Amino acid sequence: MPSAPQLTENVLELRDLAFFHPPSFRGQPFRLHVPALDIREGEVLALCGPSGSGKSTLLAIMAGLLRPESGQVTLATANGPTELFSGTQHEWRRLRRYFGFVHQDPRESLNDRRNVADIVADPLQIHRLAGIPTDFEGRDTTPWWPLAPSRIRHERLALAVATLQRVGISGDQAERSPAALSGGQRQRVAIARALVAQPRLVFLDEPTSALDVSVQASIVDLLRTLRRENEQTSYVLVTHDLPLARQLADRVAILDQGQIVELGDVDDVFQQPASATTRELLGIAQNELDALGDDSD
Amino acid sequence: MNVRVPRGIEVISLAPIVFLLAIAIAPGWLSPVPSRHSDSFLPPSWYESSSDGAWYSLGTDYLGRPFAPVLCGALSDTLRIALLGTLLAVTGCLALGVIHGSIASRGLEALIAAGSLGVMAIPEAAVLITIATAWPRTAPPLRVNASMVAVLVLFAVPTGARLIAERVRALGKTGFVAASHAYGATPFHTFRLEIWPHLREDVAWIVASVLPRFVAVEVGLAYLGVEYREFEGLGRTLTKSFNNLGIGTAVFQMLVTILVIVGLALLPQLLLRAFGLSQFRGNLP
Amino acid sequence: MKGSEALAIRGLTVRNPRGQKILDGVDFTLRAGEITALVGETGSGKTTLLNSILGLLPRGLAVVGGSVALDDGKPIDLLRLSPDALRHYLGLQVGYVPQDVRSGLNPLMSAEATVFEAAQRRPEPARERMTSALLRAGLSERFVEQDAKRRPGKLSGGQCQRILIAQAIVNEPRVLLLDEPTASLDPPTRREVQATIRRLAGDHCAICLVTHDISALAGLADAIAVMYLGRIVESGTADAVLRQPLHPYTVGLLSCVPRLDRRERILPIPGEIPTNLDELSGCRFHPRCGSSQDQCRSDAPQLLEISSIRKVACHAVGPAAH
Repeated sequence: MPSAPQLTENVLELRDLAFFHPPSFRGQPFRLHVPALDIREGEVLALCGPSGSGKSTLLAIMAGLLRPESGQVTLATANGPTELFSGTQHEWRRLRRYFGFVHQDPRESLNDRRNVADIVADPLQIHRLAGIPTDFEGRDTTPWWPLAPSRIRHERLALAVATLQRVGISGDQAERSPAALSGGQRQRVAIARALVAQPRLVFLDEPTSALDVSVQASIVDLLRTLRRENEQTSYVLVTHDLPLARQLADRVAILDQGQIVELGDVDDVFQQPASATTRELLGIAQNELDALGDDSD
Repeated sequence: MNVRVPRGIEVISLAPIVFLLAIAIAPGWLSPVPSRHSDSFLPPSWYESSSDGAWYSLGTDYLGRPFAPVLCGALSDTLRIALLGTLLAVTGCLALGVIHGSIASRGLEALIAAGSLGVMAIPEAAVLITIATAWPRTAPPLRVNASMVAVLVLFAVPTGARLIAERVRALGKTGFVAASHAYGATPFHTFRLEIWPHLREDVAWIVASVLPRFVAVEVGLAYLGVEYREFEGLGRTLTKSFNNLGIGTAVFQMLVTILVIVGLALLPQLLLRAFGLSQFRGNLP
Repeated sequence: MKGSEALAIRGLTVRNPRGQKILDGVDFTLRAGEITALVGETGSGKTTLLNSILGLLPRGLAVVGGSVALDDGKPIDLLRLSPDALRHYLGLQVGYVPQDVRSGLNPLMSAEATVFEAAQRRPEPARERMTSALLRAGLSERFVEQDAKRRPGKLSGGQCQRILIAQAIVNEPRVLLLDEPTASLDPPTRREVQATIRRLAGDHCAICLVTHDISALAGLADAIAVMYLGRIVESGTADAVLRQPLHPYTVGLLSCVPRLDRRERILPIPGEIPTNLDELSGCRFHPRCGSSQDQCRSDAPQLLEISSIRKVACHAVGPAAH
């Protein structure tokens, strides 16, 4: 019997997770089954595997967006360990504050009828967070009377614009609609929205697969920089691109048919793969890279 | 399943259609039987048997003819006209629809929009005429007018509602609505921030189509002598002038009326374009 | 015969309604029996190039110069043909597999019927050719016997893609164009599609793979052409271009591909792909180029032959420099 979640350094713990995965064209229906999986604070975990292995489903369950048939998903919150699915709808919404999301298709995930700064300020508005005003020495200067609504809105937008600048979107672009931005820029906006409320976990589902190769590289670079700047946020990344996982992740979990067949440090797993699935995936990736004449050293 | 066998349910559902077509095309075998004066207005025989023992499954009509064949004959005549009309309508829909779908012509689109306004006005007109004439002379004018306005409103709602429903349904499947939900927004919040900006266009379209219709119906019915009571609106004004003047001036007044209505119908469309709100519904997210 | 020119595009220039050149003097050759990869990111004009060959340019874009010569015994300029004549050639000599597999298929026609209908453009008996095309496209015998009568709605994305391939190859075209055949596929599926494409290249067919992802198709290509903002910046045999890229954009693209063996800083190409072509004079890559000189701002470099197997359009890389 696994120990009760301690959550001293774990941000998220999964125990005895089961979910019925419907049939996909790749194969038979199967049961997603994860006996235990922990996400540590500040780490980047990559979920890899062939298509249909259940990695996006597992991500959705971890993010609290899909209810498993059995098992617990426990999150470390300010009020102690909280199970994601056992509360009311209202409590579930309150827990959303700890999560950020970046989806695969940057065209679909942003509303073209709003401007970028408003979109990024959404999580702040939903959870009634305001930017904390500080003076030049960084001391909190929150006045003791309640902030006027327009002032709060101003604070939120200022924080949104500051986050956008961190991801490389200028103030001008922040005033426009996402339709005026390229795919890579839209994905940066999605990343800014995911980070603006300083979440504990950010979930990314194939964040670069819909982008041009050169744009992918700039997003990977950005994610690395952001991670260095803020070491308290953990990232869970689903990708079928193993080299990408190598560049971004600390640990990697390889899934096949709903089971985690291998889990460990990315260096260890990729250099000495234990399971056949991992070896096969690594082989394919290596073949493609060899064809590029990758001989630099 | 390799071979396409028509399943039982499809065969069964064809049966009523075939039955109706048969009645329409070949009524002769159900022609009314000559009457017997003594047997007019008889109830069905399974309810009460007739005096001479003949079997009338649906009773007889006012001329003493068995009602069943009379009904079939009447149904046949009505169906023939209905089928002919449907055939012509389908041809018209196909022709106009294919042309409209292949050419992106704003003029054609405006014409079709105006046409659908006109077409929708007819059943409304019928109901309005019925209501206006059904109210007694002494009924309070407010109530009469309110009932007529209520009819107009009720007729305007379904089309607009369907438009909005389609839009909301499509929006519900988008990524940004899913993102809003994932970030913990309440349904009201999601509606206000994510869905409402997309509905503004549809609301504008509804205003643009309903507003001129109210005016057109009022003026049009006024020419038929049906109008709001104790109400000096555009309709009454124009028709009074029309009734009191000679034919030349009357024609002029009629042209002015048509121009006013067409202008009112076009003005919201022009305003929509001026504000950059497109009428084309092709861009569902 | 193998190696002969099957499709030769010379000087193709296409303008958009604002007068900007979406394609600017594109020279591009497809040879029989060879697989050529056309690599281009967003805005490179690769879709416009395909559409120009297929006669599918959207309203507003117009070809203002150049030729697209298909070898049918004698060279035929596809741009100068009437729509009917073009349709004739497209059905028989040029096969096309679009990127969006679902919308490329008629949802009311079964898989068999789609390929059969295409096969009937030739007088030879269609049924055997249809079966053989389905098999060559990578569908199993079991599929041909049992599932071929299904409509696309009941088939997977991968099967739909193979049906489109079968439809394109059933008449043994001289030229086969595939648009992003492996985009958004996971690596195992990619490998299967790559194997199918490799099998399709015989002695007579010139295959062109259009892609934005150089790593996915590098193993397949015999020749590579790299496009940037409407111009071909580098072309040559796949070996030469990949192992020793010369144009700064090609160098940048290849260095963007993440490595598998260790973590290292990926240096993305600085800047973004520009959307406004009006302000770009000279070499279109110069704002983002590390080796740009004064000349690059004013003179557009021509695509010059560096060696028998390589052409580069760059002032910093001339015939003398190699």
